[in-house]
Amino acid sequence: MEKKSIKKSFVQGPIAADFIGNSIAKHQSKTSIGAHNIFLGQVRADEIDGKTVAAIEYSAYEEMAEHSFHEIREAAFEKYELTCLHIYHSLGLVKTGEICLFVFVSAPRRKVVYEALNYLVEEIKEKIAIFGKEIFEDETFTWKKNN
Amino acid sequence: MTITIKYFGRIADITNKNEEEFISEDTSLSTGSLINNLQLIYADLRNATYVLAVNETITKVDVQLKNNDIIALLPPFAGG
Repeated sequence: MEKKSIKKSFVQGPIAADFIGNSIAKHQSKTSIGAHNIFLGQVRADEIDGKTVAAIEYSAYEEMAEHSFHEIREAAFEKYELTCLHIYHSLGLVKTGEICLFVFVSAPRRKVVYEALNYLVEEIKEKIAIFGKEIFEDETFTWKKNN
Repeated sequence: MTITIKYFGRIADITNKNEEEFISEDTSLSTGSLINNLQLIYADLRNATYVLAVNETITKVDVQLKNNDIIALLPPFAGG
């Protein structure tokens, strides 16, 4: 079973549309699935004190974060009847408009995929040791903080 | 004993390094006394927001440290 293997969640740089498309295509052979749900986090050009964010540079306590991703994944499989789930998060520089988080859940039926996806995204934002340096157009920066 | 200390995000900006070793003769060193020591070296840590992880587990109470423990100072998370 896919859910038993330890998977790496970090990818270097932005998550490409091709990568997301290929992930969807790979599930065509899993015919017990009846519903997928996908969350894509995109870097927003926030305006802070009159300056506009141009990119976020992500860093992480990688060893701890990979363990936390694993725990969150296991908890989601416990809680919801899922066929599979995938989490990818960027490290390094991601420009505004590019994708930094890709969460993909699949199940035989649709109801659980909404709940599971919401649960996963909230858990990721709260519990994963990821840090974001918001870099402005003039190359100054501030540290991002999740609400 | 030797403790490895890791710094991330804004905290690493304050310490100007990502990691260092802290060597102590004190066999009853706790996270609280370690932080007091670090605040003497890096004064800006006093006003910084962070949580502590001991061997990758976040702890909010004072914990007794052991040789080779890994302590991380984690500023607010910003994933997603």
